Amino acid sequence: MSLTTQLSNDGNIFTISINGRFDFNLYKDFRDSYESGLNKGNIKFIINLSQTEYMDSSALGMLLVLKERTGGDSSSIVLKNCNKEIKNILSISNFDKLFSIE
Amino acid sequence: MKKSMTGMDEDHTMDDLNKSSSATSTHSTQSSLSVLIVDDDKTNRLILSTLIKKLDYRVMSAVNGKEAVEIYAERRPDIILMDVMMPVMNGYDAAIEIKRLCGEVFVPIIFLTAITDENALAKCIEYGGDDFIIKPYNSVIIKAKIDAMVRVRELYNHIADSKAELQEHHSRLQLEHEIAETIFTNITNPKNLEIDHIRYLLKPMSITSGDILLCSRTPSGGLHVMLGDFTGHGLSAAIGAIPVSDTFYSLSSKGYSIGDIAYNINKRLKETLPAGFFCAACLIEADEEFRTVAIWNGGNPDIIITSDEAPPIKISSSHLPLGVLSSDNLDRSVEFIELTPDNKIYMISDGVVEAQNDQGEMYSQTRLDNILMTTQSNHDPFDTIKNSIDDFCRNTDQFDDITLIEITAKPLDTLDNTVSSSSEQALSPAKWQLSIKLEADALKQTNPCPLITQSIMEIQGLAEHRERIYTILSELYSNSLEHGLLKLSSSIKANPQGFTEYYNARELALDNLHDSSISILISHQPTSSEGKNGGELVITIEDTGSGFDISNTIPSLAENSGAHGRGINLVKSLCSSIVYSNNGAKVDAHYQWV
Repeated sequence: MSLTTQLSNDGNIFTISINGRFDFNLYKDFRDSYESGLNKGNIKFIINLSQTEYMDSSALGMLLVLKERTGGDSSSIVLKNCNKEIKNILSISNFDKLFSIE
Repeated sequence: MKKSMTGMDEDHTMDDLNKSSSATSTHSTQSSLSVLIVDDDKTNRLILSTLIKKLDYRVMSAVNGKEAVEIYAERRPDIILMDVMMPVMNGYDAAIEIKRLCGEVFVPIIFLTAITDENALAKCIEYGGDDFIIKPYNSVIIKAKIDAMVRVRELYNHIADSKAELQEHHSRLQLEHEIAETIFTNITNPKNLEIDHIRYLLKPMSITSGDILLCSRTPSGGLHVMLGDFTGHGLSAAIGAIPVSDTFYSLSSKGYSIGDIAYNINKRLKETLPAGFFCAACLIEADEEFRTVAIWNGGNPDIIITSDEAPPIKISSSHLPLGVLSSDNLDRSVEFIELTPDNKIYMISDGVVEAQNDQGEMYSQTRLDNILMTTQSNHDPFDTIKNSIDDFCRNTDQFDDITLIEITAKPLDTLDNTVSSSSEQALSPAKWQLSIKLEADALKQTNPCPLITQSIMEIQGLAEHRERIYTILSELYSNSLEHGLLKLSSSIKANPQGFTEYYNARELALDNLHDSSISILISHQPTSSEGKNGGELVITIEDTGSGFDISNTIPSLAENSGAHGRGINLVKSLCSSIVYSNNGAKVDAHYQWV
C-alpha cells in the first residue's frame, strides 16, 4: 500500500501519507482518499511526504485538484516532511506559493 | 448435401414419431442451442436425440464425419457429439475439419466412444475434441458434460466479445492518437524552428509529446521562443497545445511581449483546462540584435546562459506554471539579461533531469550542471548533453518527454519588410508628453511605474515594447528613489542577508522622508529612418536629492549577475542613450522603436 490515511483523534485533521513515488499511478487512490476525507465534513488536510521519494507533475496536478476541492484560494493544505528532492520540485514549480510547506 | 438433408429429414421424422405435440412446443420455446449428433448407428442416434431433446436442445444429426462437416458448414450447430469409428470419414478427421471451419468461434466437440484405451481417448483430445463420453450412455453424465461445455462456450464467447471490444477500443485510440499527432505536428510546425540560431532535441515518450516547442519572429524582427511541458502526454497534452500555440502565434505576430503572451495563455488554459492540468513553460524574447533577452520561467528547470568569457548564468523559475493561477494573480514580470554573441541559451524540459537509467537513478540537475556550468573549454555542450543523456538511458525505456534547446545569441537576419509591416499594436507615431510629480507622501504609498507604462500603452500602443519600457522606467525610478533620495548604498546587497537588510533600511528611510519629490517626464515624438516610421521615447526622471555617485552606487551587470541581474548596464543596453546630469539627480533615457 503506497498511500495511507489517518484521521486525528479530535476528527479535525485528515492526514494522507504517501510512500514511494507520488505519480499518476496513485491518481485513483489519492482521489478516493481525499474524497473520503471530504465526507467527514470541514477538516484540515495534511499531506505527509516523509516517505515520498519523488513527485511528478501529475502529483502536482492532484494537489491542485485537492486545493480546488477544499475551497481554492482560501484552502489551506499543508505539505509536511518534504525531503530535499521534493522541496526542490515544489520550488521549481513555485508550488511553495500555493501550499504551506512544513 | 442431398444426403445430409436426408439425415435431418430422418431426424425430423423421428421427432414426429417420438414426440407428443406438447413436447414439440417445449422444443420450440427453448430453441436456443442446437446439438449435432454424429453416429453411423441409427439406434444410437435415436437414443441420443431423445435424450438431448429432453434437455431442451434442438437436435440435428449426421450419419458420418463427411456429412457432419457439411451440416456444420451449412447450419452451424453449437455443440457436436461425435462418434469415432464411422464409414466414409471417421470422427477424428471430421473434428479436425470442423475445428478448422470454426475459426475464432468455439464449437465444443464431445467424442462418443466405446473404447476405454487411454491412448485412444487422448487421441480424441489431440484431434481437436474437447471432451469424451464413454458408451453406454448415461443420461446424467451426458447432461453434465453438455452443461459444462455450454458454460465453457459462454465464457469463451464472453472473452471473444471482450477481445473484439478491446480491439475496437485499441484501434479507435490509435486513430485518436494519430489525430492528436497530426494536430500537434501542425500547430508546432517545425518550419518555424528552422533558423540557424536554434538547435533542438525533441524525444517524445509516446506517439505524441507532452512537450511543446514554439518559435516565432516578432513584427519588429525579434524572436519569441516558448518551451512548454504539459502534465501528461498524448491526447490530453495535444488538447492543451491548441490554445497555447494559438495564443502564442497570434499574440507574437501582433507584437505582444512575452509577459502579455504568458498572461493570455494562462488565462485561456485556466478557463478551459480541468484543475490539476497545467503547462510548465518558459518564454524567451530577444530583440533583433540579440543584445538582451527577456525571460519568463514558470515551473520549468533553470535556464542556463553560457559564455566564452564570463561564468554561466542560471535563471530559475520564479512563476507558477501556466493554467494554475487565476488571471488576476498571474505575475507577468520578466527578467532581462544582457547578451553578447558568444552567449548560448539552454532550455530543457524536466524530462531531461528526470530521465532514469536502468538503476532507477535520475540524470539530475547535477549532471547537466557539470556540462553547462563548467563549459568554457567545452566547445559543444549541446552534443555533449545529447550524448550524455543517450549514454545514461541506454538500457531503459524513456520515462518522460525530453526536450533540449540551444539558442545562440547572434544577431538575427533582418526580416523582409513586407512580413514585418511593424506591429499591429503600435498606433501611428504621435507627438505627446506626459508628466507626473510625486511628493514624499505619494512616494511612500505608490509605485508610479505600472501606471505610466499603462498610459504609454494607451497612448501609443507599443505592446511589444512593454517589458522593456517598464524595465527602463522602474530601474531608473528605483535608482532615483533609493540612491538619490533615500541615500542607500547597494553594496549592502552583496550577500543574501544584506538583501533583507537593504529592504529594511529602505523601509525605514522611506518612513522618514520629507520635503522631497521625484518628477517623471515622458515625451514621445515620431521618427523616420530608411523609410520606416517609428518613434523616440524620452524618459526623464529628476529627484530633489543632492545626487549620487553613479559609478559607485549602481553596480554593473557583470558584478551583479547573481541575485538580481538588473542594473544600469542593462538599462543602457535597452536604450539608445542614457545621460545622467545634475550630479546624478537627473537622468534622460532615450528609447527608439520602429
